[in-house]
Amino acid sequence: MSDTVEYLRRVLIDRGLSLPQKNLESAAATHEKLRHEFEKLNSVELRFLPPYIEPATAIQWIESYQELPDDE
Amino acid sequence: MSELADLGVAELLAAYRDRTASPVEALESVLGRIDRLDPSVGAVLTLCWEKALEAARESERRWLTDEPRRLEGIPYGLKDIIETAGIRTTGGSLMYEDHVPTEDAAVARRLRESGGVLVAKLQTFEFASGVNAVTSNPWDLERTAAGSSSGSGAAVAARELPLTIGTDTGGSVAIPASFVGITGLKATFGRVPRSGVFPLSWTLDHICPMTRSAEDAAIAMEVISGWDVADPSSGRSRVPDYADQLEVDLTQLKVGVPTDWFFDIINPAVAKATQEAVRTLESAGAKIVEFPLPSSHLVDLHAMELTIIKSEAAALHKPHLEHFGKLGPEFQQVISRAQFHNAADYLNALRARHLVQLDFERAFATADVVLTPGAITVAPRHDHLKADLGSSVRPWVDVVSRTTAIFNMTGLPSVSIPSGFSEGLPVGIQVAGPPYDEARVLAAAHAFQMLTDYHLEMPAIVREDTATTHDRWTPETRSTPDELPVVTKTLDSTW
Repeated sequence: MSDTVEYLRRVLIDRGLSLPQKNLESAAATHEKLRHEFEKLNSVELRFLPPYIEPATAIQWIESYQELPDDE
Repeated sequence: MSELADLGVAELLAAYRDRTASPVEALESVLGRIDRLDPSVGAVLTLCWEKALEAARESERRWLTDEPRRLEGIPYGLKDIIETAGIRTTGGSLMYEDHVPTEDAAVARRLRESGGVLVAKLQTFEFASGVNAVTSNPWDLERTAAGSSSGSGAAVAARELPLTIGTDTGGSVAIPASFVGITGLKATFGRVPRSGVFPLSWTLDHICPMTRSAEDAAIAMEVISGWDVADPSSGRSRVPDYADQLEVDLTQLKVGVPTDWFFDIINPAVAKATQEAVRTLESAGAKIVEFPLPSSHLVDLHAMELTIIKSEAAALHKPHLEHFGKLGPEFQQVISRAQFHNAADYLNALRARHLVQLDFERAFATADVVLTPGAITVAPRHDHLKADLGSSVRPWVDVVSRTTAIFNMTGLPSVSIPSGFSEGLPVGIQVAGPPYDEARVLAAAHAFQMLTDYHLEMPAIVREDTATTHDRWTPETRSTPDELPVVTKTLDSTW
């Protein structure tokens, strides 16, 4: 835990930000609590070779359901 | 006749049309209701009664001269992250407590130009990122109305307003709608333009009508939907006459019920209410089909939501970082925790969204709509924000968006509607459909509301108020302050 607090403190200083120690510890603790969820997300296999998914694919998928634009 | 404040949008329009009520009378009724109940409920942040009276008088003139617009004379409120010309828009932040925009947001302009009467700007939490401690649930004032569209949900439930606009990034409309027993529609991503609305996450933010019924939401959607030049992410497809498409033959409707994710972590009574809702539709002739969500086993959907929201919020709020100390402690944490995610984490979270969309694409090959639980519990107490899951209790914020954020990440239209009660508190279901098919979603929700009366139930404080005779509201008798101070403290410190 202390490593996480120290990491966050240094990153925030690098960004020109600071948090009171209590809030710093709270933010780090929340991240630690969810660490396994982030690790699971980061371990998902996303293809390197085509057909691969791009960051914009989700929005394009939504738009592809639309009718064609009106002429006007 | 009941108080005019008790009537929904469609009922008020019918009353105006029949000349049994006028917009000024309706406005006075809702202002009286706000005066009496809002000191306890805490939905209103800024009251716009003078401008509202002016607008209601114009609406009255238009009804008398047979030139009403679509929402002529309908009182409404806006979550206070939606900009309003000449009316302060705080974003729930001390940083903007004196901010008075010079232009309306697109949604505010459309409501105004359609004859709506803006009555109040409504409570939220700083930059729509959590749950405030100011707004209470009208069903039990010791309990939360959730958030971040806290005031928007509570105002409709308390019959202070028949229509409000909220915003939803991970469940900020769906969860309050479930908790306070109202209808909240999160349309397809891009269906309602976001120009002039404080952003939290540009790939997940949605603008949403909150009403008592699917019919009322359909009427509002006809006004607020459609492409806007100032929002390049808004969709260009034609806006249907939603209210004309509410009828559906239930014997032809195929309702998908998920076998994964949605029922894994949930209060047993809420799960039971969802199954009862499924049976209600099945008994009326709908065909029920189950569908899997394989991606939910591969991808952590909660981590995906947090990674995207915090990364985008940190980028969006970069201009505010010079005054970091002026942000509330909760929002400081949002920005701080974003620092744990690098660019690759964020971009891969965006990519993984599509895996979930593909699951729903397969579901819609066999189902017209899908039906899921709404919020996974009933509203917790302000001083005990925990999720009671039957066999365990978990911090509420760890699981609260579990059933709702999935529709932000997929961008699918979903409507949260009341589906019963547990411990005397409302529970809700969600009905979702394919992109840009809000008409189908609203029709299915309307069909459910024609079979049930959960959406007609009123909290005890409203029933008592309705049963009491009150003096007519006048500017001289008003008791609600025009402006309340912004509060950025919350009882929940782990959002």
